[in-house]
This record gives sequence, structure tokens and C-alpha cells, in this order.
Amino acid sequence: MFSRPVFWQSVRSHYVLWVICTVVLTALLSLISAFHDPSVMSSFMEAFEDTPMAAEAGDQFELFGSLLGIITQTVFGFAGMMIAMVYVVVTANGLVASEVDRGSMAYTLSTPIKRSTVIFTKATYLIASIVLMFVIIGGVGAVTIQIKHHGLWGTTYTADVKAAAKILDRDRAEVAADLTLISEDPQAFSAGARARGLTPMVYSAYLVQAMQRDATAAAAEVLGMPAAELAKDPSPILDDPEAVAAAAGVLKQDPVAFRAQLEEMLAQMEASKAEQAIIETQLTDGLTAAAKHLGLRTAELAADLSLLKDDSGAMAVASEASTMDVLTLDYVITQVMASNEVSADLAVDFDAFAFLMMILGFLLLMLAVSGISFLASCTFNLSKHSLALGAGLPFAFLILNLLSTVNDTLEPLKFFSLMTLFDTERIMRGLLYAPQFVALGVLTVILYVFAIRVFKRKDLPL
Amino acid sequence: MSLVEIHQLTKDYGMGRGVFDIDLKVEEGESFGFVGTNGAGKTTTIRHLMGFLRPDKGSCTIRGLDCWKQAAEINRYVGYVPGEIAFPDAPDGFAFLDRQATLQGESDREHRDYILDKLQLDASANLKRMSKGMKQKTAIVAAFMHDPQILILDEPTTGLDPLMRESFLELIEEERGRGKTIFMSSHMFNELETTCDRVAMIRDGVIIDIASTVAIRHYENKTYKIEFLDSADYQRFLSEPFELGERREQLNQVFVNISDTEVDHLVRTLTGYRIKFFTEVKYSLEKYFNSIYKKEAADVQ
Repeated sequence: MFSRPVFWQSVRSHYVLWVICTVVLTALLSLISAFHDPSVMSSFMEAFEDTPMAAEAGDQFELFGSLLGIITQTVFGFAGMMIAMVYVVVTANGLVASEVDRGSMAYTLSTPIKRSTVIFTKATYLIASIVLMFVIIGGVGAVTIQIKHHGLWGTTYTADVKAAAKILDRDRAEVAADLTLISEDPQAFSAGARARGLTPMVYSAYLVQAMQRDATAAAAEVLGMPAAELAKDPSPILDDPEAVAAAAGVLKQDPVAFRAQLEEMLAQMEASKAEQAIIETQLTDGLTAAAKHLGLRTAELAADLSLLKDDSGAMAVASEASTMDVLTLDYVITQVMASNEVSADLAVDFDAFAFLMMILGFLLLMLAVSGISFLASCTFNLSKHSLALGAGLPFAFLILNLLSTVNDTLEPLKFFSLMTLFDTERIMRGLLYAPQFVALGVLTVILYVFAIRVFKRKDLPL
Repeated sequence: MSLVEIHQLTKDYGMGRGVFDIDLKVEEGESFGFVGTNGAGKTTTIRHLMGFLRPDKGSCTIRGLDCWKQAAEINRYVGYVPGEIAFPDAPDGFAFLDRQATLQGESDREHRDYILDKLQLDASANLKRMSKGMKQKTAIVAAFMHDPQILILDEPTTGLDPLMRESFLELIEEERGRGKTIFMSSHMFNELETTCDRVAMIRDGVIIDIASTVAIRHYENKTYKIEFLDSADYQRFLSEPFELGERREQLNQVFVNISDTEVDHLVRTLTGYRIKFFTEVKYSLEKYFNSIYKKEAADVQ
């Protein structure tokens, strides 16, 4: 069934491309993970948050702003698939069709090794090499993410929670679940602010926003809807007393008081929409002027607003340009900084399980692609015919998949693409994807079994 | 039972291409030649013996084993030189030969070195940069080195220079002497004539004739070429009671077809003539098959 010499010869003939593709994919994943800066990413996202583009993208925007989102779009997206498919397609063709076409297969098949053993061994090599490729990519990627973001193993705690928990002599999980423990203890509060590198004022604003976030999340869980959606429009909370109770519990508030507060906030939100837009323009003007004053680029200053906040000269300039008085400007900047911190928390939060499932899904997809290429390779005696189908079809799938994301008219094209079975968005949202994975697995098995049968029975021009 | 048996082998590729109802038997220790023009069906037949092709009809067996179903088992006893030389990936000749030895499950270097020496092949050369002749030699070494009982060689002398061809034919002679069975194809009559016991001729996928080279070498019908000193003698000889072949009047030459038993009579007759030269025209495999070709063509008309 299995021939070690044939296996090692396959390794020797194909390892160069394997090494190249594995290194490129691993480097891509590691570099993106290593250089991903959650706070830069979140301020970048914020800059776009209210643009029409973001509105169209919906909460996808939030989804793909995280580290996993970025990885999904690159390594698990078009670029990564292209690289992995080059290895799969070229190797599948090289293992069989190319050897038959050139005639060198004659030297393998004129030995006492059975034809079925030869083809089974070659199939084993192809599968094993792809699996190993993804084990390495996933392994190295996971280690990089862990080193840089500590988000993979165990639950992540932000620096301030760790510091406050130490002061309070409490469990980190307990503190993270109840931020009021920090806000109500002056020592813990100052330790937390120091750990985050924030002034007490900004940290205080951050804690308020973070608690609101946690309250929304608790309510979202009760309501069974995405927290991001609820954060945009919290009104559904009011319809469900249980959701109100959950949210109020997080804030350590009386549900009745919380409800009243929320109602008031909703009313204000409606009223202040126009006002907010004005404030934003003013802020932008102020930032631009202050950046000029400080000799920085506006984006640089936006990434670290404390540069502005702590410089009274710059504040004066910004205040003049924005036509806001210094106190109001200070307040607005504090809120923006606090919300940047909240966003940064989100980006630190890395869904390790989703990452693992992405690697697994990508692997299964590539195995299915290799099944197509291997079947083509076993069927055709001419390399060009094998490549036409074995490379043409997978790359056509990739293009169709890409086109289907362009707009709604082209979306149905996804039903003609194998890549649709590897749905990264579903994995990130935690929706059902197991059936797709099973389908890919079954397809792979069928393709390989069929390929081996075809090769065993066909005429070879050797 | 014969060592190699091909029974009513048919592989129809359509448009008259393929092989049709091939029947052959090769005995153990026999050296069998297979001759025919390009595209006649030599390689197709050999691919069936190697188990690369499945017969449409009929069967091939080697040592009683079915060539299609038990190819791997048969390959223990077979050395094969393919018609087209395309090596697998290997840096140099030795790496390739080592690879083959691993696949064959044999590690006897002695016989390999002997053959390398015999063919004067330096296998350390880069496989891809080898000349056609060197590649061919490398392929021959790969087929011979595990000392197989049966050698199946598809046009093994292509690309070899005349001297190397001699060395190779010597090698074949040696293997014959050691009791090996050889099945070899060629489009060159002369090399088969000296190395093979029997030669089959294939044309358009059909075996036309199988000739014994021993019989041809000792063929009792001979042809003599005679040139007379002048045209008077030439004209006078034409009336003698011999079967005459081609006549060349300007050169005063005549070809006489004659049985061994009549040679004496011819020589006595010629004493009455003045001749310039008298020579036997060697009867060869090529001539033999040409005559069959012509006869067939005549029969068709």
C-alpha cells in the first residue's frame, strides 16, 4: 500500500516549492500578527466609523478591524489562497501527470512496486505535505500571536485589570467582570490608570465606557443578538426586562434607574446626532491646527491624543481653530481617548478557537482543491490537460469567489465556487460552519478515491 | 509453457492504429527481435508486456503471470529500457541509479559497476546535461544492473555511436550467453540479425512474418553477382540455363539466383567466360523481409 522510497522521492522532487509556500504563508501570518497594533487599528476604524463606506459594510467593519479580521482578509483570503494553491496545483500535477507526460514514470513502474502502491503513496505525500504546511503556519502563527498579544491561551486581561486585581487582592476574572471594583477603590483606580498610562480623568471616562460596553454585552447575550449591533442601537434592551436587569447588574444599578437612564440617553442620541457631526468637524479642524503647531502629522496626533491634551499651547491653538472653549475641547478629547481605549480592548481580544477553525477550514479547502488537481493529474496523460483542469478549475473558483464579494448582483456566483464552503465570516460570527467542513472532507475523500481508481486502471504511454 | 506469451493481443486506437491479433512466444534463453517502421506497433506491444497498457482483447503473460494484473510481480524478473528517455528528478547519474536500485530492492553494486565499465559510462555527470548517447547508456545500466532474467529493450541502440553500439551488442551477447531472455525492438535489421535468434516483423500493427536468423544465415538460395569483361561474353551468358535476377547491360553485370546445389555447375560454366569479378551477394534479414514485403504487395494487387 505504501512505499517509503516513492514517498521520499516525492519529497525530494517537491520540497523546494513546499518550503517556499510554507515560509511565505507563515511569514505573512506572523508579520501581520507581530505588527498589528490594536490601538492604531481602532483609531483607524474610528476615523471611518461614520463614513458611508462603514455604513455599507455594516458590522463587518467591526469584524474585520480585529487582528483575526485582518488575518482573515489576507492569509485566509485571496492572497493566502493564491500562495497555497500554487503549491497544491503544481505539486499535484508534478506528482503524476507530469511524470507520465515526460515518461519518467516508466522508471518507477518498471520496478516491483505496484501501481496502486505508487499512486497511494503519492496521494499520501500530497495530503501529508499540505497538512504539515498548515500545522506549521498555524503553529508559528499561534506562537507569534501569543508572544505579541498574549491573547491565545487563557483569557486576556487588560493591564489595568491585572494591576487593580493585585491591589484589591482579588481574582482577575472577578475584577474584569465587575469594573466598579476599580472605580470605587481609589488605590485600585490609580493603579489601573497607571497601568494603562492614562490620566485619572481619561481613565475614569474609559471605565464608564467600558462598563457600558459590558452592560450592552450582557444584555446582548440575553437578547441573543450581536453586541456590536446592540451597541449601535440599544433600544431593544428596553423591550426585555431580563435584558434590562442583566445590563443594570453589570453597572450595579437598580433596573428601574437604569431603564430611566437608558431612555433618557436614547432620546438624547436622537436629538444630538446633528450636533455630534458638528463637533466632529470642529475636532478635526482643531486637530489639524494643533498638529501644525506641534510639527506632527494629523494622523500621528490622532493616534496619540495625549500629546495634545497635555500641551496647553497646542490646546489653545486647537481651541481657537475648533471654535470650542478649552474645557469643552478637553472633555471631547477625553471621551475620544476613552473610547479609543475601549476599542483597543476589543482588538486585543483574540478568538483563539475561531483562529483554529480558520486554519482547519483553510486546510480542508486546500485538501479539496488538491483532490481536484490530483484527480486531473491521474486522469490525463498530458501535463497541459492536467493543468487545464487541475489548476484552471481551482483558480476559476477563486476568481468567482472574489467576484461574488464585489456587489449583490454578482453574489450568486459564490454558489459556483468551492471556496464558499470555507466561510470565514460565519466562523468569526460563530455561526454554523461544521456542515461545510464535513462537505469539504467528504469531497476530498471522494476525489482521492476516484483519482486512485482512475490511475490504477488507465493506459499509460510509458 | 513459454517464458513470454502474447496471445491474440489487440489494442485498437482507431484509424487503423494499434496492434491487432499479435501472437508471439519467446522461449526461455531465447533472444527475440522485433522489427518494424516507426508507428508499426513495436512500442505498443512492449507497453503491454510491461503492464502499462490494458489489452482490448487477448493477453500477455510472462512466466505465466498476466502482464496487466501482475505487472509488479513480473517486474522482479524484468529489466526495461523505455523507448523514450526521460529520467526522474535526480542530480546525477549515480543518484538516479541509486534511486532505481532502491525501487528495485537490489543493492548489488558489482554487476552495476561491471556494466558501467563495459559501456564506459561516467555516471557522475549531471543527468540533465548528458548527451543523448550517455542518457541511453544510463538507461541501459538501470535496466541491466539488477541482473534480471528477462530484458525488454525498446530501441536500445538509439543515440549510441557505432563503437558504443558494438559494445552494447557485445553486452547483449554476454547476457545471452548467461542464459538471459531478451526481447528487443529496433528499426535496424543488421543489429537484430547478429544478436537475435528470431526476429518478428510488424507492419501496421500486424505481425507479417517471424524469421529465424540462423535459417537466414544458412539460407540455401544464394545470389551471385558477375561482371564480364566485354558485352560479347555478357550476351552469350544470357542464354545459359540459370535463373537471372537483375541485368545491367552497360556494366556487363548480371545477378544469378541459384541454389547451393547448383553452385558447382555455375562455376564450371563460368570457366568458358572471361570475367572481371564474381561475388556472392549476402542474403540478409533485410533482403528477406523486403522480399516478403514485395510478395505481400504483389498479393494485394
